[in-house]
Amino acid sequence: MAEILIKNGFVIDPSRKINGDVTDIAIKDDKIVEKVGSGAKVIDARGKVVMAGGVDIHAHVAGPKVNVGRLFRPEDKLFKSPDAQENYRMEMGFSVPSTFKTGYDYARMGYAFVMEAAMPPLHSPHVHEEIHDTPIIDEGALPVFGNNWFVMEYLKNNEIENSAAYVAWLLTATKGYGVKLVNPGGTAAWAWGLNCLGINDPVPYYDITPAEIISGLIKTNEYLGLPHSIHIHQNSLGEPGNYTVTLESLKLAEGVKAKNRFGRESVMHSTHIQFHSYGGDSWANFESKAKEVMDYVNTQKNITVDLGCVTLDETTTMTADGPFEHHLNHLNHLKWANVDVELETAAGVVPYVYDKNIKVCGIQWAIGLELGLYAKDPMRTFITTDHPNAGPFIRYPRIVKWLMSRKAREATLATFKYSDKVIDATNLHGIETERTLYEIAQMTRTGPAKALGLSHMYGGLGPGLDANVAVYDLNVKDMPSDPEKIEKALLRASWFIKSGQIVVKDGEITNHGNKRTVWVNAKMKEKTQVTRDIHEKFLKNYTVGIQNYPVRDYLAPNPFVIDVDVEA
Amino acid sequence: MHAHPRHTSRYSIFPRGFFTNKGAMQRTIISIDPRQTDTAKLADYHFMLNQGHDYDLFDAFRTVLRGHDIPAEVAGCKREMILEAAEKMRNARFVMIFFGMGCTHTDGRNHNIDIAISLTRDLNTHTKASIMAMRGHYNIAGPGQVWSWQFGFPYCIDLSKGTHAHMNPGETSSVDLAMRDEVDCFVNVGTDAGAHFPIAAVKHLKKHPFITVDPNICMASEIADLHIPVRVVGVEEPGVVYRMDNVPIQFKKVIDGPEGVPSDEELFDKVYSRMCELTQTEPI
Repeated sequence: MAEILIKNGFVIDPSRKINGDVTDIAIKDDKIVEKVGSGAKVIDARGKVVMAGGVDIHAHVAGPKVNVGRLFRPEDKLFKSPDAQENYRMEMGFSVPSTFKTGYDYARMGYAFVMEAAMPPLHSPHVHEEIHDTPIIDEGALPVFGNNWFVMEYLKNNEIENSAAYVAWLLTATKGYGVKLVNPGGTAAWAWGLNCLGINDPVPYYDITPAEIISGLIKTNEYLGLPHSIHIHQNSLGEPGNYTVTLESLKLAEGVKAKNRFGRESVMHSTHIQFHSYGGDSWANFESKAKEVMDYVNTQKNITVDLGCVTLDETTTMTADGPFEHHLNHLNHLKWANVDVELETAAGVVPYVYDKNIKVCGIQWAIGLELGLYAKDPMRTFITTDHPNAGPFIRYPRIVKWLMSRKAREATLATFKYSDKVIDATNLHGIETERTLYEIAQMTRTGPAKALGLSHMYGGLGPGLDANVAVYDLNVKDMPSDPEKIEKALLRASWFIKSGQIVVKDGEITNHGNKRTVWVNAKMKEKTQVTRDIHEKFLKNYTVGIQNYPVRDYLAPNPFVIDVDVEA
Repeated sequence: MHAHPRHTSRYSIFPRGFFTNKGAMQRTIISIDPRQTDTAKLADYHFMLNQGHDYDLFDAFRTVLRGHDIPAEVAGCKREMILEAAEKMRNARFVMIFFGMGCTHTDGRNHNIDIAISLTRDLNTHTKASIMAMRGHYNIAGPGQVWSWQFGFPYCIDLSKGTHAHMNPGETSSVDLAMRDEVDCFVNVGTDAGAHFPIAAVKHLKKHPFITVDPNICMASEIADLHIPVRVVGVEEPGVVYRMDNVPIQFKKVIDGPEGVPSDEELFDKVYSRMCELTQTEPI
């Protein structure tokens, strides 16, 4: 590694409120610096946009359920990668790409960090093996806690300290990043073939409600002061009329203050909110409630959301929300896979075709974009597709195109078979807002980095930050009138520098980079009761021994560990 | 009982679980086997069906669960017993179906599993049900996982196209390739092709260089032109092993391997770098 100077580009860096100024970005080794010597390699970015490397806050890219998706969909491999390069690893799959394709495609789009959104703790060695085989990008993984026996037992008795001690132990044991909840209570109910559709439905046997689990884990998270807030996939995903459940659970964050040393202000990240903003009481009168949901989010400064936009592709849905996937399978009658994980969670996988000829799919597409356009604070609203649930991550540039261009939205809307019905059930047709590149940078870089508590590494181009710099062939002074060109430019960066190494040039991978696994080491004083509970559960209920459970160091060979000292 | 000696005691029949604290007393065991096996002796219901009629029996279960009538005898099993067992499944809190090669390698093959999966799906409208393959040797699930994340396919992977992987069992399995005499060098790693492959396939393979990488002396090593001994994985070499339910288990090293004997990984790293040298290519 050496010195690099990116000259004369239009710099867009919301972390320093720079919007399109022509300046130079200097890189020394793996950091951005004030200036470099005359011997630095010069990259001419004249007429091009320079942004920080992208940060994806929520994608399913590694782990057992992702691999089930690959395994049970050989037909997904019929979509041949158009970008496969000679002398690089094979790039297989479309909606559930192979690990190598995942790394390459993110790098081509100029993404530096990706958060694997749901890691079953028991399977964490598998998740880390896949992360290790994903080149270039830095990754973290969120273990799922929302249906964990320990957590439910502690929270039932309102034992926040015990819950915190367990969360801290599990984060360290699994080399995880933060607290993920998926259909809290509902997935535990799924062990009995049941579900919790409202936040006050009791979980069978545990006699706790989703609302108590959510509130309890918010408190636990702030007790520990973790870099990320709780990251929640709410109850009743994908059901018509579920926006009331969404609003109820968002309200649980009211009045809670973030407590951490990472600059994070949110206490709840509500993920793929598109799937949770549905009105109507059946698929017949299904409609958008994006405005109602976003109006609330706009008023609450301590909530962040990501969109989960539907991209109108054939894709593979996968989630730890086991009962939902069972339900979805009854809707589309395609394949269904289900996995239960002892004491911890479950997962389901079902292929899904978001078809332009189906009214509901069109409405879902519109809801995702409405949310992105209604958001008042792009620093709290992030672009995702809940990859691969609403569409593959390689469609992010397409979503940007739709958000930036009304013309592009209308053109897509016009191709729907039931465009009139979609217009009736949504507000998108009437929205004139067009997002700027600066706002897009907030929604894909600065915002998610802040929500993850990683502003000191990602999301900006200030000196001292990691040298992740993407250069796109877009001229801010002369933005293309053809929106397709925006998508094309963002899909394949002209240059991408990851941790000070040039990994992409003209949209082609040039280097396998130096990826890292980012995880949180929460150090909390041992609680005897929790230690005893853990040992007892492993002795009696787990099918694996406790000594084989924590992920060994060699499985995450390039760690970047964030230490959190919990004041006792 | 015999193919998976720890299965009944540790996982399926006898263990006392959190919600099943009476262990075997609380479980109903249904065995479907044309033979009187030791597992069948343990079972509450043993369906001694006519050989090769697995599909019929599963179809009968589905028919009953969907509320239709069935003939007095299906696959050699009495109607009453089928009705009773179906009722047990419907009323169980959790139904787990384990299947093995008796289903997959007899008449009907994949169709037997197809209908067993359909039965599982049907059962999920009444209760919670799941189905699992009784996988074979040791870490057999491991390569399936690794190849799935690297290539998107679990086995029968043809990489010869260079740009993309291709999988078509019946065309690209090692036995298929051997039977068509398409390979001119055979590398046998961690299995015993000499014992497990059809003799006609082995005869073709033996026409060309035959290399066995295995810690043990086995039939494949006996007929190999070159036998490279390696350390025993899971005993002399640590690593992750995928259990048959795909749970990763981290194995420790128990003893040191013999001096000078490489692990599989070290061996293949050396072979690869030598290959790059010979072909004058850069490692990827």
